[in-house]
Amino acid sequence: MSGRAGKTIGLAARAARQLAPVVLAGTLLPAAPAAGQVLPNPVLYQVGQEYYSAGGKAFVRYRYDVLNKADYPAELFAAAPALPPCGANTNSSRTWVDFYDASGHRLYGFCALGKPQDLGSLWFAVEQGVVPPSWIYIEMIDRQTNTRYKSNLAETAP
Amino acid sequence: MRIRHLLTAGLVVAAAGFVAAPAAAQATRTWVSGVGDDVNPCSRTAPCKTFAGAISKTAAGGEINCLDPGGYGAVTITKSLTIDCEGTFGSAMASGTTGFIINGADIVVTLRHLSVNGGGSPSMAGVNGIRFLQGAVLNVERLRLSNFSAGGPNGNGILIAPAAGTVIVNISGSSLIGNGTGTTGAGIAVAPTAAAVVKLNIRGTELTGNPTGIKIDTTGSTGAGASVVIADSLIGGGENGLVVSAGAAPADVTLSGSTVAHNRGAGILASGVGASVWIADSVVTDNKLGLSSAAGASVNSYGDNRLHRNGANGAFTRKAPVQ
Repeated sequence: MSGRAGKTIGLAARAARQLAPVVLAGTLLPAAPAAGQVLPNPVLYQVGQEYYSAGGKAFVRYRYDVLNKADYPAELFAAAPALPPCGANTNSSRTWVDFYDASGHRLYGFCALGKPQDLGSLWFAVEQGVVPPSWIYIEMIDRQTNTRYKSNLAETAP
Repeated sequence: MRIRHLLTAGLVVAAAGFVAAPAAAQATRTWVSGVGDDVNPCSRTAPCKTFAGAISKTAAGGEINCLDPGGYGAVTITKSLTIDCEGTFGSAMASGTTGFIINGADIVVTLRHLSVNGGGSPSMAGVNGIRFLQGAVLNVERLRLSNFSAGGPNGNGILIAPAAGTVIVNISGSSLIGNGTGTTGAGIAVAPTAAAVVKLNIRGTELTGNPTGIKIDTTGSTGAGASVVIADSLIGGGENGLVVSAGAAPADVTLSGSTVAHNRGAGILASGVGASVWIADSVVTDNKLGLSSAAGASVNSYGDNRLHRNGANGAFTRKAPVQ
């Protein structure tokens, strides 16, 4: 599993991602969840905070888990080389997960989760001393079916 | 012509100045709520979510109050302020960090009716409940500070470690429980450095299950050290109860109306020539060692104490008669 910082996403990748539904229309892809199978929205909750340093700066990492991660099939997180890449990663997963604040501003994202259990190790970070958004949510985007699963709002204060 | 252009440019600049948005005003009273949001103005009807979010919207000398039960997060305080959650459950979970850092020149801070929890998990151990680095006065009223288990010199419920000036800390009606790890850490630790002076008043406070209940250490001080008064309090269930260490800077402690009990080591332990403890109307019991003084320190009695049923009672250095 690897994080995908907003700043590191190239313009090409962004464009490709936005065009993904169009590309997908004519592409043969791995099996989707069974037809008619309705997957639930993720139930997001905070696990804790970690304090760490990187590049000479101090950060706070806000860690989250998805309570109902077992409800999602493994193929949702299978490598999807036929779909647009995530930056240089041409083997990113079929479903990407993004963090947003309550007003819909994207905070961080994951494009290489390998299995549903990885939803138990989601996080985003802010520089120490910066007040984080009070409420955040995640959105899972199944790029194969262009289906979006939006979570509840979860808090950042422990 | 050129002058007219200059005048026009000047007017544009002036107009821009007039239309610029004024800095957001700070309120003397702000509110936090478990369902608030830090994008709000922190008013009663639009409360904030955290103390850190509310503090920038609170005027110096103002007060942050809690509307309902909630975890309002750790915060660094750099201006005079009161945080008061009386009437509800206001808390700060501070795993991996310090709950409240007090660090502002000449500020007066009051923290009232809060629960501050370090989490206790070894992987994300809370650092200190409160760390007082700089300020004039800190009032701690009815706080519960527990489970700050980072390794020494951290792992304290309250760490008072100024490097300059005279600071006054008043602690009343509070509980400092289960802080520290192994033999390091304390319920309350006082460690002034340089010429800083600490005047600490503790009343009606329970310090239990900390490696050291109260630790006064002036060995790093070159000034007037520390003066500590402890009244009506319980210090027990740790490795040592009251530990006083002094070098050239004095550490004067008065303990009255209090009980020091059930410590696995010493009830009261003083070392260094500048360490002086006077005890009145107090009970020292059921410790492995009641009293210990070394290296010129003194543990003295006003003559109305109960030194009883310790593994070894030890002895007072001297006694002053009841007057």
